[in-house]
Amino acid sequence: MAFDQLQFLQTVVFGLIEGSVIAVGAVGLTLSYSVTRFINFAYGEFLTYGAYLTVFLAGGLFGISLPLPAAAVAAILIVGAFGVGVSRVFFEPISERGALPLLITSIGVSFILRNGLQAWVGVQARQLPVPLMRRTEYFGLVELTDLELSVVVVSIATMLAVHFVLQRTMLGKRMRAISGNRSLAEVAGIDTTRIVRQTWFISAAAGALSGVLYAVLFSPFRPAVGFEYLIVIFAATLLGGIGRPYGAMLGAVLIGLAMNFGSTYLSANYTRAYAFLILVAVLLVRPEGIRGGEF
Amino acid sequence: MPSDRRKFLKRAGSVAAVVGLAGCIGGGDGSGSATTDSGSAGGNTTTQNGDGGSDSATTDDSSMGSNTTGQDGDNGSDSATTDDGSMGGNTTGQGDGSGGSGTPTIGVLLPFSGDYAWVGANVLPVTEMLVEEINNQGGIGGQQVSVVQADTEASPDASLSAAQRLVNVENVDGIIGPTSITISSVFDLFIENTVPVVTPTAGTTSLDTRGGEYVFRTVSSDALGGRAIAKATRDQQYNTIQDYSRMALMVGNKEVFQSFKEPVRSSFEEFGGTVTTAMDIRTGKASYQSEVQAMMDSDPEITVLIASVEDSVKITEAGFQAGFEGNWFATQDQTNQDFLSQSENQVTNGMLGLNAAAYQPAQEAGRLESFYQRITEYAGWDEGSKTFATNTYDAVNVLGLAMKQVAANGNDITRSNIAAAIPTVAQPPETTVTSYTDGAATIDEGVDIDYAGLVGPINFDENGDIVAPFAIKKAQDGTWTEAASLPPEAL
Repeated sequence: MAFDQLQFLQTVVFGLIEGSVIAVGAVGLTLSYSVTRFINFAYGEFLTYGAYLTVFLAGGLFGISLPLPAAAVAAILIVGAFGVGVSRVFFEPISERGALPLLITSIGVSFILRNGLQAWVGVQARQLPVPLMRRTEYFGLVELTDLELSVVVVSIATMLAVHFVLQRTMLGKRMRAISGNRSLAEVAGIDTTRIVRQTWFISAAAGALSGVLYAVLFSPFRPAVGFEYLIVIFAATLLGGIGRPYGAMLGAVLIGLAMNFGSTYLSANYTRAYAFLILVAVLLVRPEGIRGGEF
Repeated sequence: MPSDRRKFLKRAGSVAAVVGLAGCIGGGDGSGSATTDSGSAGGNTTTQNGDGGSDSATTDDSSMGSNTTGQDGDNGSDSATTDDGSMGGNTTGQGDGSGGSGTPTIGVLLPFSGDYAWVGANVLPVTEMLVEEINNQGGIGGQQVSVVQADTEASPDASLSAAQRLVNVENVDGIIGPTSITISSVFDLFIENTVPVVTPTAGTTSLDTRGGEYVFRTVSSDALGGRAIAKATRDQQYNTIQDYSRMALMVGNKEVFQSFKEPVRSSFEEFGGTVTTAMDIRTGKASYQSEVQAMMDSDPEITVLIASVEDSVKITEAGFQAGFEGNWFATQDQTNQDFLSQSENQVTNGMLGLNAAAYQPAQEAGRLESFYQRITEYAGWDEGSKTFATNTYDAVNVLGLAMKQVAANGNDITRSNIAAAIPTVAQPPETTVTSYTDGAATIDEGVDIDYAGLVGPINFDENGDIVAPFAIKKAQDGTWTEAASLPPEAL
């Protein structure tokens, strides 16, 4: 069989689309890690809550029926605030005990959140009310739907926003300071508790956005969706070097490409396994990730 | 205050840990975790679900199943078989002795939670309605019959422990169910304990060559269903669109779906068609873009899609997005309102599907209509023609009449006596009866009966199988309408 260039390009495009979803999630996860220094296993639930809240806000469950973009924004803000609440209740009180208790607590939190949602809304599959469209051709080479295009655009915009926050705002500078050396930052007069909370907001909101983007592309979904996708996000985060937002973005694109190339050219039955494979390889060969250095 | 807070947190922490552990046991992938988790929720609602003595076995078992073997049906049933072996010694002893003591009990072994909860929801009310009828007619041997349900969660492991509970703890005299998904994990248990089973739901080809002694079914084999799909796609007469000659197959990687694959493929080729690709797809994936692309690359005119509702929604939408111009053909799993309401009409318009057809004599005599009316009133359904409802009607009637026959013959109501009576109450050329009341009265007169049902004449062959007509449905604007009917003789 001749090598099909169009198929190759199309696979690249699919990889970039999925990479966009992963990137938003991976940046959120890695930001919270860089400031709090523990891996938050409850992070996947932010994706789930983001997607479900958007469905409910857009579908009129709370008596209001917002247009989809407004519902998504509202859901992202609510989940952001929710993330701060989760951190205050579960993580802040034990923040001095080191990473391991925090990590184990986060696993528990994730079960509470997921099963709580399930008890509330049930296990039926849900869908976002997005219009179904055919792919249109671009440059005679690749095809994608307007929705897929907008997912990529939203993701790039988010990356730019994160870049701006980190490099150009006081918040970003303080976050980087805390990430570098928390005690030193505290001595320098930075209100670390406040910055940590703000980071939690950004992190949870990014998770929710990632969940919304996921739901736009991959409907229908169930309450376990975020937890299952978390491992893919982990792979991207570790590949990029945990705690490094720019590495996470790069890692996400690579994982997205790997998953889609594996599905197209090897076997479609193992899509996520390709992400795990990379995860294992990174841990074995280059545990610090492809991108060394701070930020 | 700080110490109070610490105490609170300690407690919260330990609660979190406990919840975490509990969750770990349930955590599989995809719908697996959903099913298992909801199983515990289901346990609360569906009466005595899974709280029996075998429960500890369940927990171990399912943790093994979901962690090491994921959702793979085959592996699931392997681990199930091991368990079965270890328990076999205990269970066989109790098998036959159950009859004399206690009231006659019918177990309903079906998924009541998770993706396939609709199966249990369709079958249970019909069973309860008919058991009420049996009891109104004086019960069996003067005793009132009771119904016990057991949730298989559509998982082989959970199914085995649920079946063990029915067989050993509840001492049921007969079982309605299970589905194709879990029949393989419990089949040996039924045989070892001589439990009469009439399943209205298991079409799997794995029952084609076994059963007939204890296991019977009132649903057509998938082998026949697959042949019907091949016939209906090949022949415009049955699909009203065209004689399709190039077919692709996309089949979920579970027994319930795989069971159709070979019959469809071999029959379609036998009828002169070309199978462009026969693809196994992993169920529960987030997206099927690559699979759909590979299917489209093989250039079929119609794609037979044998998968769960959720996966089918994703696959047909992926086909639409990618501009697939061929048609789709679905099985009973998707030929329901659930699938259409989750899909966009522009995707499903013109789509074809296989379903059980009305049995002409039952329809002409008005029995079908009166059943629909009766069950909608009894169960508060909005329509009586739900999937498996008529199959259940026939299954429970056959089982009930067999129990009645055993009692009327003056024999002990034991499992093996009932199993032996099942073929005798549904075999021509005896007096034809069409309901329990009718049949029970005839038995009381000392006359042998031949039950004829709603799905077909219900004459079990040596493997406990029946033949029944099929209907070809066509989706239009969000509803399935009958395009043609396909009698078994045409296959």
